[in-house]
Amino acid sequence: MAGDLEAIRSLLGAGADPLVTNLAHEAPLHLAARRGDLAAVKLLSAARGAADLPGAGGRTALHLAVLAGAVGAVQYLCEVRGADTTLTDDSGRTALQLAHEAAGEGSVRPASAVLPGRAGATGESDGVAARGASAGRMRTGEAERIVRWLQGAAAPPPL
Amino acid sequence: MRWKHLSRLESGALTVRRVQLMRMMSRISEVSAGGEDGGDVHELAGAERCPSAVRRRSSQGRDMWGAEVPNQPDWHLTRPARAVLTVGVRRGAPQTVDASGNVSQSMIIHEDESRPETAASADTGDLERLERRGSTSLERRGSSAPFGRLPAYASGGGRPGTASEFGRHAGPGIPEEQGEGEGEGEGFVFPEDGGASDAQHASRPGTRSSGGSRPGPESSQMAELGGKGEGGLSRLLSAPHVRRVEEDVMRDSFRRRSSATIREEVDPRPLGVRRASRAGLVPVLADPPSGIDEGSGARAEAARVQADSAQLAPDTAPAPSVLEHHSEPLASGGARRNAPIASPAAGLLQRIERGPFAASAEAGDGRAASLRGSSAGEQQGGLAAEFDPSQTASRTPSTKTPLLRRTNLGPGAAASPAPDASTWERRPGSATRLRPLSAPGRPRLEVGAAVGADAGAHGSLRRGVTERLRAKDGGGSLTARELISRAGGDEQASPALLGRTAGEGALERLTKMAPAEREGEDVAVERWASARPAGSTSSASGQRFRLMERRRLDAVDARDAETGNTALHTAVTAPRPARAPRRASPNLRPKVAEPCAGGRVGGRPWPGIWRRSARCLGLGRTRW
Repeated sequence: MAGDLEAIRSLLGAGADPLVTNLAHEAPLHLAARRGDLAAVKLLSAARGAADLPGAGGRTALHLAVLAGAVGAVQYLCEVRGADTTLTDDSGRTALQLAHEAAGEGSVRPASAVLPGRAGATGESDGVAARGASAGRMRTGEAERIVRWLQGAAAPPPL
Repeated sequence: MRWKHLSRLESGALTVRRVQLMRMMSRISEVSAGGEDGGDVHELAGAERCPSAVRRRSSQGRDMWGAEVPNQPDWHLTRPARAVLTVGVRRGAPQTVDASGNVSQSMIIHEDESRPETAASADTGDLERLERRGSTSLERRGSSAPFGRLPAYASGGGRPGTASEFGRHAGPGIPEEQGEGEGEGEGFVFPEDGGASDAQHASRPGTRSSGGSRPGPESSQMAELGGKGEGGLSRLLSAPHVRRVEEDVMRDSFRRRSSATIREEVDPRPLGVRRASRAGLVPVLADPPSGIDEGSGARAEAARVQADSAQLAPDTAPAPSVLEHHSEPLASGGARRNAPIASPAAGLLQRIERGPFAASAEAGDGRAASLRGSSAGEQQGGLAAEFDPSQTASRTPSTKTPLLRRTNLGPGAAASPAPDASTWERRPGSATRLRPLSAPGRPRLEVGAAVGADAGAHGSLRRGVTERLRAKDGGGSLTARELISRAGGDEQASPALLGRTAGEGALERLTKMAPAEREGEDVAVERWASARPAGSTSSASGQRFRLMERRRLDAVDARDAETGNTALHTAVTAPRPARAPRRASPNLRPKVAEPCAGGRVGGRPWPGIWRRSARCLGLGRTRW
């Protein structure tokens, strides 16, 4: 369920720090991304560096949005906020790898096979943690869309 | 800009503020004049030396400017006008904030013991008399010869030892008076930092007041003294150091009505400065730097403030009194507002100085709360909050100069040891950090919550604001401004609080009240002055704090002690408020049968039947 956008706006207007983390090392943006709340993500990611701010487990908002299956949030973070798709969490997985694992093995080519050295090139994809965190909520179709989108975003521009 | 809110000069801060606004509006040397009747205004408006900045308040509560003012027939003044004359010396007035809110310069304080003091105010405005009896001399910029000596007015003008006095003269300087300067402890001063009571400048009720001024040839020459009386005014106006004459004419009803909101709505400072001020960042007057640009406007201001700072010396200054810097009670009307606040409080001040809480029980009026906790011996050495602009780049990216908290004071400041720096940690994401001030005996520390210093004097209108305080951990570094501003309260409430301490036991309670303190978290605290008996040190007060802390956790920067969530976290995870139910589509709206006058059903007349009802009843086709 989406957060109280009006309250978020008011607090941000009052000078609340969107980058402040709680005891679980989660910033409000992380919470919003984990919930797939695109509107809240838009509001909270305006601060510089917010998109790449690591949270709990070293996961950025992009990681959490991928795990939440929030395609819109993923696209927004990457396109508008310029989130770094190569960042890895503490387990060494990139957002693309998380999406790939959530989508299921074999359904989409791993990013490492597509773009060595780019997104998804690091870390091993055992898929356990990712599935445990997100597979229960994330539909395969959404995961595949995210994977395809991230792969397209990570691909070099056509000549 | 709402000028109607500028008519109140309840405090020196507002005086400075209004002057700033006047500068902004008129772009001329500020001149306004006031008199008892329209004739004064007319005279002033027509005077050669008085430009168009004549402002008066009509009976409808509107402010009017310019030459048309005297022609208005509806002036209805319920009491004499009040003229605040601004004369004297202001050395080194710094331009600390530019138009875009950048902190461009710093306040430089030049320690010069031989320099004459500058602060002064008087009720009569008679410069000659001031010169005769004065213990303080004003010195013109660029001139070594003082033109007069100004006395320390009974209400506190020129009194030593208060941040209010300090801040009152610390308005932004004139642009061309900017000065360069760096050094340890640089900062700038907001006008609201101090905010001496305007009662210091006020004329006594029932006196005639008129005047005008001309642009001062020496723009940096400025001090403030309240004046009245035509003779004194004339002399003042003819003096080269007079820069402005302000008028404060208003109706009593309007004053009462507007007193609660004026401080919020009128803030001419740039946004960045306001934010910095909200964050509790108050400049510190630094250690004496060298190389001050002699004769510049910044210099004048710095010297002015330095004089105040020198007066704050703990070894020489008397115990800072609460009353002498209070504004007039807002909620009370009549001539009392015009009376210098220190006059009726003289006895109370003496009682205050006798010992802790001595005056609390004796003050029978609304000042009881102010007196409470103002014991002189309770002041301790403390910490200063240092503003780290790198931590708040996103909020105030233009802030370049570290801002230090101007603090104080009191005889106890030197006696109390400063906290160990090792006990302080920088809080991640925090815009402020606390650091101990190293200079022992230097009276720039202000400790204590200063609770109760304001609400009692100003009545219930401001009580709700000033009672919300917040403590910061670390064993007693609590400045009044920080407390108030961080609690989301009215910043303007703080000038009256600055420069005095909370009193006995307050500091200890605040530092013990919440476990979150140990982690450097901010803790919201509401003051206890109204509920706590004077002198009480019972543990019940601490419990009260905790309860109030939980209640205030919805503040912007407050955190939940268990989860560390801020209000923003909560807002993100909170369910979105339910929307209003959608209006039903017109197609879905239940159709209402149309009445008809009558007809025949089944060949028989059926008067008054409802068409649809008839169909639903299976009566077949109706004929109408």
